[in-house]
Amino acid sequence: MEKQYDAGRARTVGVSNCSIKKIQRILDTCRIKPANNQIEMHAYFQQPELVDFCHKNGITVVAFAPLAPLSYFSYFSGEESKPKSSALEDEVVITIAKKHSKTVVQVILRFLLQLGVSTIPKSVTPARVRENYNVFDFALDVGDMNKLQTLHAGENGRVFDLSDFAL
Amino acid sequence: MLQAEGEALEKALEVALETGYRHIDTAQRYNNEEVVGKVLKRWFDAGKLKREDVFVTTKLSYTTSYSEQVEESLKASLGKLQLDYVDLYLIHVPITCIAQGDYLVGDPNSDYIATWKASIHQSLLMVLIYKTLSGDGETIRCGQSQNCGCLQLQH
Repeated sequence: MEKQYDAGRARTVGVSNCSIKKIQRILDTCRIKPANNQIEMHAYFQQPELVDFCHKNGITVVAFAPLAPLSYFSYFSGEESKPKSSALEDEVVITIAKKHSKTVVQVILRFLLQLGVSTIPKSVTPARVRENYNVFDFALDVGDMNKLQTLHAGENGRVFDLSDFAL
Repeated sequence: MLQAEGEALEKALEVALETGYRHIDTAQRYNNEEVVGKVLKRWFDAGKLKREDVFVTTKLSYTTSYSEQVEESLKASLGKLQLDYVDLYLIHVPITCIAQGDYLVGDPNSDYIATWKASIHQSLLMVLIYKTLSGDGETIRCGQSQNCGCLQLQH
């Protein structure tokens, strides 16, 4: 036990990019469940079943790429993936943004927060860093939430191809 | 903090902390833990921030995620971050990758369950379990963190 006593290098431990099946295997075989699952999640790729599964099992969810880049370079092949349409230009989001006098980015981040998910938008542009934080002074109503939920495009909305990982 | 590095990241982190961000997400694989550590140390040293005010997440690289590599990987991350602990340690991807020429490919024989168990051994949970077993009432502290597996501890 001494080694364990000396540990404490992490307060909580979790997983990332895990499907329901992968998490279920941990729940079935391990005494300690993950605290968190960090997954790709944005307006066009909402993964509702996975989020629901995590929440029902007391696993928090963090959304990476919450604003879904238009394209990205694969870690593995170095090739640029095909561009996807962006929810930042979606009329549904633009209309809701105007209604609340917020930006489309703020609407999408707020949407994810109201689904009970933390977001980690990446930016090195000071104005955007501030914009991304300014989402706590308004709330989306049920109608807004329903409209935004219809944007989910299933697997077609996925940007990060993790097929090499055989997930 | 993916694909952010150097001075641009330093400035962005300064702005973020000034704005009020308190959750920093990084990863071994992002190659920027050192920058995060440098900025955090500056804020700690200046007395503008306490360790417990920030929630720092880092991730075990999928290139060093065999179970026997977990301890060394986490220690390396902590060294770069100049921290004694991270608030959340994630297995970046539930498979270990190996280099094949210029590419990384998943090793189908890698066992993320073993990696998970090794990660747990690095966490405070084990300390709490130990203290629970030794009967010094430390489980109460666990209640402050609803995500750290308290239910299992209480059984």
